[in-house]
Amino acid sequence: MSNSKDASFIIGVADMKVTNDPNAMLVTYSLGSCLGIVVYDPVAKVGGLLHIMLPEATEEKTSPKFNPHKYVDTGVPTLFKEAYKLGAKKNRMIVHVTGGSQILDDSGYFNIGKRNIAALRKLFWKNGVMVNKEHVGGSVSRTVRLYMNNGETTVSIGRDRVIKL
Amino acid sequence: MITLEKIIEKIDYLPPFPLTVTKVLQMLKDPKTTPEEIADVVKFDQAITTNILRLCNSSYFGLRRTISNLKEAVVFIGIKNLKKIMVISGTQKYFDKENTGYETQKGELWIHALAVSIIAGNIGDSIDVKDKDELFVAALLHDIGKLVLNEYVLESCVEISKKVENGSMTFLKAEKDVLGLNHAEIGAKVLEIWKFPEEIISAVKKHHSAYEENDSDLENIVRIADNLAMMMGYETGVDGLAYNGFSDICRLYDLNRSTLDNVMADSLEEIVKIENEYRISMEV
Repeated sequence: MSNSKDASFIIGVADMKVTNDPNAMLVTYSLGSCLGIVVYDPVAKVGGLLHIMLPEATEEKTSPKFNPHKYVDTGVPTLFKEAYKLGAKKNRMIVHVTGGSQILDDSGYFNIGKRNIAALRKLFWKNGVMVNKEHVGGSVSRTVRLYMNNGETTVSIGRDRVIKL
Repeated sequence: MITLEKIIEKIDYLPPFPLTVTKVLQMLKDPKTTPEEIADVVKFDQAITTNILRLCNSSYFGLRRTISNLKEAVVFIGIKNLKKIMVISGTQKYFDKENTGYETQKGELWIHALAVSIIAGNIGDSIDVKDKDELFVAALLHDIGKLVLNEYVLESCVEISKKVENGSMTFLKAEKDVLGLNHAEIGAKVLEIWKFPEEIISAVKKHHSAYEENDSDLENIVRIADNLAMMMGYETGVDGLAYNGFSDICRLYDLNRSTLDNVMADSLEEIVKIENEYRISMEV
């Protein structure tokens, strides 16, 4: 698929794709409280999209069944490492963060969106990663697309709203 | 605004819920029912027979040989799975529609239904709920009202979305404001017409209503499972997460944040697996 024109990759929940295919489009549908994290190096033309669900792993990380893409603390380092492998450089990397919505409740039981964002900010701060644009929070469902030919990232909300980051 | 009569007219156009499914569920309540007896009822329903055989031989079960005999399939997949397959097979056709008002992607309503039923099952396991079959059915059908309201929503979509976006109005309130009815009430009406058990109808009717004392486990778990599915992104696009969270129910069952995190983490693999088996094709 990676060699065909207009290759599209659908990234599921707890899933990731990193590529240097200039024809590719990466898409992840309906982020609820989950985060869609986009990285793109405009020089190396390497980009990636990660769809994480929860802030940190509580399950056994050494288990063969463990999926690092489910969590901020294990997924984000994997995203960066895979991008570096294809020639991306940290100082050139553009980073966008989307998602982290909330259902309407103030009790804290359902604040996973906020907790995901907090965990990500802490991790980025520790590692000196700057976020270029973010589109987070609220109660909407977002679909995120990364176009590899120019690094354009869009967020779609509802049926017709498309926001260019 | 639309009238209840108009809506009920719409319900009459829905194909009836397959008798085979209700009959087998009834038979399975009797522990003496044999796989042969079940196969004898199921075999008359081509679609469900095909579905059972297909699922048996799918990667979901990871068998090394092919099963082509219905009786053998019933024995192999076991009673628990059979009930789920029956209900899923009987329900899928309602969700396989083009251009629905609630969805931004084809298949979202169906995947949401599957996700809620799996999450509800996992919550049900953790708090040891009595009737897990009814829980599964109620969870799978909780949004059936959306299928009836679908085309009205498509027409009124802009108006509803504006109300939700311009403040913290829940989708349900906006739906009621614009259409005069909400999807939970309509869902209950559909199941009444299909003669479903009262407990299931009530769980569907109340799935967005505020918690009241003495609400049943079934009613409560469907509400929490719906909340969690939305947060996981298994919602239906247009309404997103604009619904109230049932933290009072979490407190009641002592479900804390880490328990909820674990339920979501544990449910994910199962949802992805079943989503692949029952995918209604989505467009990129």
